[in-house]
Amino acid sequence: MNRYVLAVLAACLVSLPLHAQDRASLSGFVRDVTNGETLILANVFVQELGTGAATNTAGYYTLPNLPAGTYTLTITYIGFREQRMTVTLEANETRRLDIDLVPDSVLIDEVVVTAEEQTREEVKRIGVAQISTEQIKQLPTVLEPDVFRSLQFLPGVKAASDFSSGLYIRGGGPDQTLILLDRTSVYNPTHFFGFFSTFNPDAIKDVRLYKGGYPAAYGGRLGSVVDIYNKDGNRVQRDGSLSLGLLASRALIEGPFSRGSYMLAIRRSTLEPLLAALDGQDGVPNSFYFYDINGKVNFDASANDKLSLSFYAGTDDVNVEPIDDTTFDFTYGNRTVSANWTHLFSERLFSNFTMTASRYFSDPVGSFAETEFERLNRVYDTSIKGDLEFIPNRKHAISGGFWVGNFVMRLQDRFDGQDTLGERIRSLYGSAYIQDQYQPTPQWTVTAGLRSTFFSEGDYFRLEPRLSVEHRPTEAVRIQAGYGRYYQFLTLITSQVFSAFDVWLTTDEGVPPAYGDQFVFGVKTALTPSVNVDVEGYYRTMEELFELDPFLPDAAGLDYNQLFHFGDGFAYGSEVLLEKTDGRLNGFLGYTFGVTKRRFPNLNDGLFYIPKYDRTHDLSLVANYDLASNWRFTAAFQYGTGQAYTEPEGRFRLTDNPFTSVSTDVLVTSFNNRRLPDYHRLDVGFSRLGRFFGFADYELQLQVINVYSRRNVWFFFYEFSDQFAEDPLNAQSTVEVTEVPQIPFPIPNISLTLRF
Amino acid sequence: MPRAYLLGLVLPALLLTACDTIEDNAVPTEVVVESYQVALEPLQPVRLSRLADIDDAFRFADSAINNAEVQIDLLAPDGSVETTYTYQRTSASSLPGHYSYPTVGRRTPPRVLPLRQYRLTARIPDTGEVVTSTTLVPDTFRVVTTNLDTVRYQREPAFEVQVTQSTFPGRQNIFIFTTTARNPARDNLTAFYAEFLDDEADVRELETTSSPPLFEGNYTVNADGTINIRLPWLAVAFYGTLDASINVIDDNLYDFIRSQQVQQGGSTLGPGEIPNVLDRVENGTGVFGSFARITEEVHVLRE
Repeated sequence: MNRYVLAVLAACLVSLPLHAQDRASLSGFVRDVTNGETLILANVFVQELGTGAATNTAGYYTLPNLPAGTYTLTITYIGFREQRMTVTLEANETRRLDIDLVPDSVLIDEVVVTAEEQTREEVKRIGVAQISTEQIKQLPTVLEPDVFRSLQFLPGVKAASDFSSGLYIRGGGPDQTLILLDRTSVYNPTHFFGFFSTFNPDAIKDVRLYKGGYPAAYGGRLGSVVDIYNKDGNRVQRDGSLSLGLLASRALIEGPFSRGSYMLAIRRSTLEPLLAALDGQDGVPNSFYFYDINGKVNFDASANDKLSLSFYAGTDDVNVEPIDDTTFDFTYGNRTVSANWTHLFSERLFSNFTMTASRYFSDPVGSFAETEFERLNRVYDTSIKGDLEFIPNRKHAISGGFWVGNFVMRLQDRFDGQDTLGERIRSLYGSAYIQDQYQPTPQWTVTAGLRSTFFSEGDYFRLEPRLSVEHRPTEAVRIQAGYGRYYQFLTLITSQVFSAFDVWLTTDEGVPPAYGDQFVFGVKTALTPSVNVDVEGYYRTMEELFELDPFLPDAAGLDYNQLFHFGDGFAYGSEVLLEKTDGRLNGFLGYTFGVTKRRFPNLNDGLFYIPKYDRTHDLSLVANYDLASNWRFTAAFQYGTGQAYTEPEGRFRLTDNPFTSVSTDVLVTSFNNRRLPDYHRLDVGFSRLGRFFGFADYELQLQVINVYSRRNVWFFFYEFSDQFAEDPLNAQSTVEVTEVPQIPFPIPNISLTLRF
Repeated sequence: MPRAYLLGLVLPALLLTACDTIEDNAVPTEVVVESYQVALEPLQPVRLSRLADIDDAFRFADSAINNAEVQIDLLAPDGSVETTYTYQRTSASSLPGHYSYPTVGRRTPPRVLPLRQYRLTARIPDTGEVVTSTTLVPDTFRVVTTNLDTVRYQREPAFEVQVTQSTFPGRQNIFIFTTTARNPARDNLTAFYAEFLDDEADVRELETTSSPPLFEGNYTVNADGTINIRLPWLAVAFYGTLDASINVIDDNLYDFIRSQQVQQGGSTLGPGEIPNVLDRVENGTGVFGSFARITEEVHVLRE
């Protein structure tokens, strides 16, 4: 590592200009003019020099070492009108230039004249996808607009079923994706049994998905990162919104105060009237609610110091008595809080320091005939992290940082009033990274990084090299390749059916971290200023995967490493994204070819098998069409190869089992040997904008999910007939197959949003 | 220019999409063994059959193997054969695929010895198949005391048994709790089980019910080395007199039972993902297992 650091520093020194003192620099924040929100990864491009800079996660950019002169800046950001401005810099000048961009939507009634067609300069990093909060709200949804459901439309991202918001990205399971909210890890971010994610789109400013080959600034997961930032709050004026939906209602208020802003978003289910109407019917919960609260306060201590405090709280609680003498009581949720300090040491040295705390709790309790089962899971994760970005010159952008924390996992089982398992793992963890983005010419960019990670429980120290290269043979084409090594110290136990049972477990002695290598390559092109085509391919390995042994009936008295089975896997595939960003008709078409396989010794005779969430072909189409200035039509279509499932080929029967009165029937089969029928579904929605009795803007949304009643199969269930018979040796028995569908019929949804 | 780059990458991407990746393995017509040996009880019978196609109507008698050569060897600690017990096809035609150790003319039928290994061998003359499986019999244990012989359903105190510890080399003990109702009438069903049983179903389906395998770590070991085991109310399907058994099982039964239960769902596998059972049978499948057990009688009164 030391050699690497020296090499980076040497490279920086070599490329420092001899007369750096004659040079000027330009830096500042890029913001949304309507509300003052900073924009992440906006691009500031200097036309005359053919170079530029992207804003960081705080919305800050730096252009150092500019020769004195007059420049034309082009500032671009998806969903915003391109802005050009002329800047004259004197020698030795250090100019702070904050830039405000105007959203496209503000110009909707204006006639926009563009002098010439010019390729929009956008920041497009390898493996990165973005979906706007506006698009998230427009997409037809079952009951509630949802961040993760929207991400599932992107190429390379799949869902386990209509009922799951879990992200299966490039062949990885949900636990292989690091989910950050305002730089804080969030565990099991789901509501409504996993039906949708906890992130309230009203509160969110930016959602960025690193599908693979993610940079050294992130770590801790084998696959990908979802980096979500809450809104800072409107810095221009106080405003708010109120949304009434079938499942839940939302309220948002945000506004400025002296040298700062605030934002508070609340969402709560509104199912009580429905539950009351259905009271007494089988399977209807006695009580059920969920809520989430997002809040953020920002304070500009000085021009170079920004402080913010953000928090999130979400809970699901359900109590149900499906049959007599049986109750289920589930409570699960998350709490996070983060305090953030952004400090500009100079226009070239940017820093960000964050203290985070995250708590996940899950308390499922089942009672069968007064015999109670309880599995309590707690995750406490407190950390401090710091990130520094140093721009010594236009060729190098050096970043580094640290992340240290204390991770506590508690897992406690109780059966019939007795503690049967009590695991508590406390581990200190730490990581540090350094990265240099080197741009020797405007056509070439090399980003090299190294991340080191330490996990005290088990004394695991790991190094993770990262490398990516970008070549731009023309302004409109980017050819990219990347490699990274990744380690993961956590695993998620999930039933893929019901997220209230989700349990997080960690590495420990005898349970080493999983690791994997990722190779990514791609071409990103802009066919026209508003039409992009991105193609990416990937190959990744997964080694020393540790998952809860699926055959484990009980965990009492076992050593920790005996809870797991260990395996490996790999995934490869290619993705194509055709995107039209502007115009009355806009949207995207995505296609994915993907293969993922796993191997565990006690499954499929120890041979590789295809997990359920593997989909060979996956196609998604999202289209928005502005029917009029206040009417918009949205359609979302998905097609996918049927998921793998197990179709039993043989059977046998044991007739003498001393532990039961019925015959013991057994299926014999290779594992996941068939595919379900292909999946496809069309959702449509209309939205209308207008004034609501003169005191608010409104948006009325009418949506229908699964328009043409496609009965996609979720899984097949196999049951044996005649397991009990007077003469079990001569009784005839057949295997009955029950098809369990996903959402089998059209589901309408209506919502009304008022903005004040 | 961009189009050329695009084409260069899209074409290979499309070529990758050639074919699906599902590999289908045919299921062989394996021999199925079934036998449960009980510590300190006489050698138990063996039943042999074959796998059947999933689509065919199944009748055990049609799958039974009736012409096999079956023996069980008691193995010495070094793995050599100490004693061989040659089984015979049970003559009754009502017992297809059934083989037992002949006891006619013997004063004391051989009993299964705890903490010893037994190996089952079945030869099928028609096909030349030889199927083997070995079990290590758990140690016996005994009841020290019971707290009550009559309990009231879902009221304290519950039925509790104090037992000595069994042993099983290399791991903690694994229990299965079994209750068998003496009078399995529908009127005697507890509320929880009454919900499960269809109106048309025969109530005798629930005559014997068992827990999943549970580890000894669930229970506190007393200072004298004994264990107090409380009968969970979930194990009580009927009011009235029950035979409550505590069974300590071997590895073969543990693997078979836990994996067979996973076939019906409820594990961490995705819905529709069905694994094969974990068997410890060479050249075949099924279970050749052993266990030690104690049984106590308990009367369960209505609430």
